[in-house]
Amino acid sequence: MDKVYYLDNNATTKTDPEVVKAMLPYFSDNYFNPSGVYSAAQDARKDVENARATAAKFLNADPKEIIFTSGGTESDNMAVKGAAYANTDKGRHIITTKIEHHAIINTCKYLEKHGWEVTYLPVDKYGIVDMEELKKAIRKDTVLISVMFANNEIGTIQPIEEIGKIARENNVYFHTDAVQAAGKVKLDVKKLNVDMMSLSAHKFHGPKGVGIFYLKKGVRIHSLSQGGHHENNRRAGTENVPGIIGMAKACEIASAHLDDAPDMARIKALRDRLEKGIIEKIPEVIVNGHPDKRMDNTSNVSIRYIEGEGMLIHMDFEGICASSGSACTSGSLDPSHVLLAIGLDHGTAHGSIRFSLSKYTTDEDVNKVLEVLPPAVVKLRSMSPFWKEKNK
Amino acid sequence: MSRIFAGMSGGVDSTVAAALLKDEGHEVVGVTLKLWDEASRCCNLEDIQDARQACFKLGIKHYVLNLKDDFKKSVVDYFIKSYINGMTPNPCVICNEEIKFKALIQKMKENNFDYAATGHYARIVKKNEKFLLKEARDKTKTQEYFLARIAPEEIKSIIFPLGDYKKSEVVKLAKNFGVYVEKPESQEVCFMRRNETPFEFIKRNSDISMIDKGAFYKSNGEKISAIKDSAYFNYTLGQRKGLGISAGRPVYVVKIDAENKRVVVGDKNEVFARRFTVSSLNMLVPQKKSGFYAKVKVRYKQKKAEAYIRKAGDRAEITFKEPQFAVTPGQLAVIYKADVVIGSGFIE
Repeated sequence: MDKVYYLDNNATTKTDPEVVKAMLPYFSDNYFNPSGVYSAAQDARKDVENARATAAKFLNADPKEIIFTSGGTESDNMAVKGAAYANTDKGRHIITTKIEHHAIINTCKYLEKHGWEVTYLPVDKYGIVDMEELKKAIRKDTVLISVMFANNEIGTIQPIEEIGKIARENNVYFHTDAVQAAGKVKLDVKKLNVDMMSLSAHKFHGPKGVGIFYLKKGVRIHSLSQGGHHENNRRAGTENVPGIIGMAKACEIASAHLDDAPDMARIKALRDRLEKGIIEKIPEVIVNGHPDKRMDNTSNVSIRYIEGEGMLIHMDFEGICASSGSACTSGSLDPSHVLLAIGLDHGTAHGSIRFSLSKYTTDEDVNKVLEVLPPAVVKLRSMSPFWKEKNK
Repeated sequence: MSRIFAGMSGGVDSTVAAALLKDEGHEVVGVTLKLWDEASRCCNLEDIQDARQACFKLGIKHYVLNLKDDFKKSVVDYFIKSYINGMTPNPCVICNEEIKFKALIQKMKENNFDYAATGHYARIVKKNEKFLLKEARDKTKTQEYFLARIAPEEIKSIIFPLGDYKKSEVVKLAKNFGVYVEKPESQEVCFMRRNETPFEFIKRNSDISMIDKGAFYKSNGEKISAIKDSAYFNYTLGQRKGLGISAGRPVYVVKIDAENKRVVVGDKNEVFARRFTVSSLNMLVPQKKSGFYAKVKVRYKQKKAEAYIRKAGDRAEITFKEPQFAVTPGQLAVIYKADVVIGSGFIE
């Protein structure tokens, strides 16, 4: 493969070699089903439970509160549908936001078709939910509030602790999709006042296909799949042992990385240099997301009068990996619902590019973008009818 | 070696077109357009996947461009509006003009590529430093009719690799290249559901009032019956089947009067016309004189017929030597000299 400049870490991250190393034995010698009675299986069980303890520690939770899933989407489904189905005696109203990941939005839309009511809270121009709007939206029959920790597209961080407090005061379950925050921000479920939380291993240098669902003791949900008694009857199916072991390793590494302030500071400095460089070299650029309450690794810029799609192709020819809008399986880009929700018009939303960094991002990656993007923008704008119109 | 953007629908034709170019040693990048979400027969997720799979096999890059908004505005809305105005639109012609070639050529220029290519059956031939759009070798498949709206200055940047192949040869090539996927041929109106009528599509996709759906009339002005299960805009000139009128002899649609919501029916001879006008004239081969003799085709499946064309600005008056069947407003009239496309205009 040609040299790649990887700046799409909110989509997925490079698996840490330590993680790969930790997983390998579980694909070969240590292949046993943790549910077996024999000693070899018991060893596998022990390793899975140790991994659970590590995951629990990562979130300041109790190991009994950790359910291993296949990733963020399954965890989000578990929270929304699980809480909805289990609490119909209280009501059928859910509160979420307009900028959630599709794993939440489309699950809510599904429930709307089946008799639930959903309030999608608006956000301000930075992408932050208004606490007064939230309070107003809570009703007697509200069974769940689900607000994401950090947005995948613009990086804006919500006041989760405060939302959790409001949810508690009103006796409503609170779920947060923390997929983008894990490994970048310290997560303490107790301090954050959350009842449920979703995590995905591959967003913090763990393997794909495995995630965490944190479920606070006593919170009532239904399980979504029926089968064996795995995961304390919450999630049937033989455990993804290699994935779970790899994820636990990723949690350990991330904890150390979070404590190592210079490393996080390095990522932020790189991000800031990239953003500053883009603003200096390209006119008519808007930075999306909150100036401070934002993930240190994320930069979303709208380069006006052209389309993100064109820029992505230009950059791909040079080996740069970035994204625009939200990636979907067809690889075709719809204007991002997040950018529309923060008030961008269609055209400006279409012209957005997201760069997301990680501990593996280097100066060279940033330099490459600053070398390739500005001339690409000049070329694309020279052909854009909107740019010509503007300069008349 | 040239650098070429190849439009790829996921079907056998465009896949082989890309494969041939790659085989000749060019740098090819595959592009699939996403145009309509619930497409029945094209640009659905499966077709995009097929196109991507073909690109993997060919070892070329592949991108999906989202043109859903443009397609809705330029093609679907136009399609609906034309029918409501009593015309019979040709969405493929519009799509090629406004969407497909526009997008491919745009991408080509944006990335400093040399050519755009598709799997259409047609030929572009260089003669005396000029580029001519011609019929394909396979006369049963030739598609130059649908391509006649391409802007004259763009013709030089377009390649149709299948112009010299027969369909049967293309299928063989696909198998040889290892990119053959068995699927039904794409149909004319890709965004309609299978067996759907224009009426059903429009009902589903617009908020046009269906209270007064119009009526059938005889050409002498006598009312036959109200239209019950569809509407006046569901019909096209020359249509015989599916009218639901029993007249004791075959009757044909001879006129659609949108203003009064009338479908006028009559004998076959009433459907023939000799003289008509076209608008939005697109001349690919400029003619010295404003009046000239050529051959004209007024529908894709119709034969070319001798005619005299008199140009006036971007309109023209066309007079056939012999009256032609169903010269239908909204369809494209394509002007030929031998097998070369001279120009085209929309029938008024």
